Amino acid sequence: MTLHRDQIVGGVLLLLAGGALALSGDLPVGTLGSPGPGLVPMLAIALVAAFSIALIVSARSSPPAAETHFEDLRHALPVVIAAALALLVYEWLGFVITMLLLLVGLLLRERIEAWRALVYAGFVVSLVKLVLGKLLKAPLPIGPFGF
Amino acid sequence: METLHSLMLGFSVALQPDVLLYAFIGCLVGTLVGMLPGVGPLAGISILLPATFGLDATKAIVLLAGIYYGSQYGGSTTSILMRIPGEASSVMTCIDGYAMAQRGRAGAALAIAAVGSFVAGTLSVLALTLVAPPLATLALRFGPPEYTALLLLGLVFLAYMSTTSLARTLLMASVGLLLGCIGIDTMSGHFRYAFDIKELGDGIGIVPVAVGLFGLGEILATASRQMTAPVVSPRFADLMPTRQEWREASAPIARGSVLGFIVGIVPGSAHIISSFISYALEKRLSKRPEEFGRGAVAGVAGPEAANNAASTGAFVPMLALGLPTGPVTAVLMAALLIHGVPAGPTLVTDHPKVFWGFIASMYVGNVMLLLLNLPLVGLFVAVLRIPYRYLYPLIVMFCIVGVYEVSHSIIDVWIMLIMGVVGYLLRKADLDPAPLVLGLVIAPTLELSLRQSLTMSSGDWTIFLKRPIAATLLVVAALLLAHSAVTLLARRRDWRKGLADAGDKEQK
Repeated sequence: MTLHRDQIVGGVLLLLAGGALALSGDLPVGTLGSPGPGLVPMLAIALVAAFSIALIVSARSSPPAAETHFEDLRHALPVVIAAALALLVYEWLGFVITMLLLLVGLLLRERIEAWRALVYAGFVVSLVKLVLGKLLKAPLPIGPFGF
Repeated sequence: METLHSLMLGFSVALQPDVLLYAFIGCLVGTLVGMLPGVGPLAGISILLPATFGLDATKAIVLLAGIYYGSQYGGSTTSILMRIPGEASSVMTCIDGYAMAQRGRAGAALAIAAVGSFVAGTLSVLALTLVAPPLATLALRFGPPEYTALLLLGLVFLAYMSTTSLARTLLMASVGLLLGCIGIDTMSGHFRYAFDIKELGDGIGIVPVAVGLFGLGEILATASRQMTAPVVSPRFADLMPTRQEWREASAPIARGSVLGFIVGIVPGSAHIISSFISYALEKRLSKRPEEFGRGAVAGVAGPEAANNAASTGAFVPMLALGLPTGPVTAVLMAALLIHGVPAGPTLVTDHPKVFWGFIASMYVGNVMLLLLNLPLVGLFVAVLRIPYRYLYPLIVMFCIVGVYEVSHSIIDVWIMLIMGVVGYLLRKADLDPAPLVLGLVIAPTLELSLRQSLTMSSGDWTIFLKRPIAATLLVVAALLLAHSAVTLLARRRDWRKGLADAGDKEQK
């Protein structure tokens, strides 16, 4: 039996609806005359579940799951990891150092020479700091070295 | 007469030097955002949102809206010169715009796109001027049942107009509604799905979700693509179309303007859909349809006029009803709210300077864009030559900074990152993220108006049918759903018939 893409998508979203339902136990639905905070979440969960089932039922018209390509994960994953690392240190190291590290890291990953990456990242970060921080007075996080 | 008087008030605001400056910055950034593949108007607006915190509401909305309609102009440049849609709504321009460029008519194609955009933009602002105020007056009569019905109609319209299936669109909208339930319930004070994270008490913000799904999600999906296609470089002297080209462009521009404005009012990715409909319409009306795909002037003029008119049309429900028709207008509404100005029927009466100043600035902005796009084409060609591998790290940085600056919450940036991954996976699953954002945006209003309606009727569901406006809106929604279902069944019957026919042929 061929597993179709929409069967997986519908299944995952059905699980999401199930998870939300499990977390909704303490939310009072109330009555129609006095609806509680659980009413609309329950309606939304029911809709997600219903349309997920509709997706699963009509899944045979979608391509086989094996035909969905993820080769661009090789590029997407490093971007996600780099961004996640930047978020971990952003408030601690501040805008300048974090963004310099992020940009240089991503540029090196694109096989750009280190000196080019450094010059480009330095220029861009300085420009953004000047425009956002100084001209537009947007408060950017400051690191341990005062910038 | 009253409208003219109010418009004069608007021009007195829009022509102030500082407002003009912000309109110019918005138009310039919008043009660049529209040109650069991988950066949409939504990401551009979200990233610049924090920069507007120090401004008053008028300047903020003038700047941000300039990015939106400016991006519709900019998108055509990349489509014509590189055959890459800088913005999703410019996909159709790629076909005949690039074909014209290959025939040495790149300048003429750019000029027709710019003039078409200008005409459509100006005509649709005129329509917006006439339509929005009376619609806002009507909306003042709306109570909770009418708002519930209006929001439901918006969702159904979105699904009806969607390029994907009804079930897929409504599924995404429902997920958005569910996400919109996160946070403190405003009526009872209950914490819902907040996992003891106090930042989630206010719910999930529109900006992190929108930037994640559309900004970072796009980068994750396009990071591997080679984006250094050859750029056709037109000379300034070649920008003037011939008399014949003008003649071929005029009717498509007029039709695209009307069509785009009407489609723009409807919830959904109107500026994208309008360009597709306009292209199909022009091809059908053309005496030489075989020219489409080989550099037909109408194939550039119609879609470009339509997507610009649609981006202005989208402001009608936003300004008059407080109803976002897509993620961009949702973020613009959020921007107004941040400045203490709620979009909706009270905007005209309570904040006339903001409302009319904004409308007047769009007249000025369209002139600016025309003056900006043609003479500076050489500069924009230079920008297009920046390799994508240098560009996307910059966009990742702007996504992080933009989201962080909205509320200074690192949790919001984590939400943006998660939504980026979700956006990437949704693309793989062929699910449109726009209905999810729309569901998230309307969830609080829908919930409040639904519960208020039920409370005021003591639990009587028929309140929605007893009030004429609400009943009419629900009947329209039901008709649209019924039409979609009938179309779906007919298509299925066709499919079965096709299969049976194929089986018969094989047997023979």
